[in-house]
Amino acid sequence: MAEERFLMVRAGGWGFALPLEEALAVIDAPAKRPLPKSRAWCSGWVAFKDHVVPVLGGEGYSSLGPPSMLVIVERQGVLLGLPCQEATISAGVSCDNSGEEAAAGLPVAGEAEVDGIGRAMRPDLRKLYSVLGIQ
Amino acid sequence: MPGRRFYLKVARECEIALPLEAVERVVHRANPDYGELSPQAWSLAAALGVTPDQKLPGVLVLLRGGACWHAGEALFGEEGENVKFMAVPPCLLDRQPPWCTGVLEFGGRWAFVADPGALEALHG
Repeated sequence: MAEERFLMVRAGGWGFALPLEEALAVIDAPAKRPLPKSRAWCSGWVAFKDHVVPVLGGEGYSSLGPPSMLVIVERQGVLLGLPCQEATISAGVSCDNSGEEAAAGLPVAGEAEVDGIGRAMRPDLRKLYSVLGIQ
Repeated sequence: MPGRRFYLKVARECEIALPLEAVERVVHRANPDYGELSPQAWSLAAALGVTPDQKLPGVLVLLRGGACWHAGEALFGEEGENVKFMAVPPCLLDRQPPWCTGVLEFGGRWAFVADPGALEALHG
């Protein structure tokens, strides 16, 4: 199997392997601003490169923990901030695992065998956006 | 997106930007009409689910559409060239049509650009 590069993300005691091409940026989490009457999953927003970026972390996602960093992801023009406490780049290979369920509220597409770390879950961003109703 | 707007301060982290033409009149507490109009006003803070900033003086905002809102403070502002508009995707809001279409950021300050009709629907 071809080796890939992953963003290893630690969030609320969970470890995720996000394919590097799915991450737009990792930023130190600035203070979140509230967005009144926003969807229940949205814990606030931050400004990033002239975009309003909602931060995942409200209802159903509090176990991701308080963000010290945000992984910014994007699908179809809508940015989303995933809270985490640590993010590092590692190499590894993807493994299929269709039996995985959501972890910390994040849908899982499979697993990755990451060098020096072992197995970690791969979040399914397509499904996450769908679940959040932003796609 | 420079323009002339009314800025309604509602809570510590909630300021609403309204197009100038949407506002008929701003009535301050000292105005004799305040007491008469006050019973028909509804609270912007309550409609948005935010805690009103009690340090603000309190004003009534009469809209051209006939609504009367209660806000903490209303300031008139003309934006300079350094104002930045950032769109808020409608899918982030739990009610449609979205009450907020974007955020204006200028000089470390920011305000939600509101759709007066949709904001009124929140109250209903």
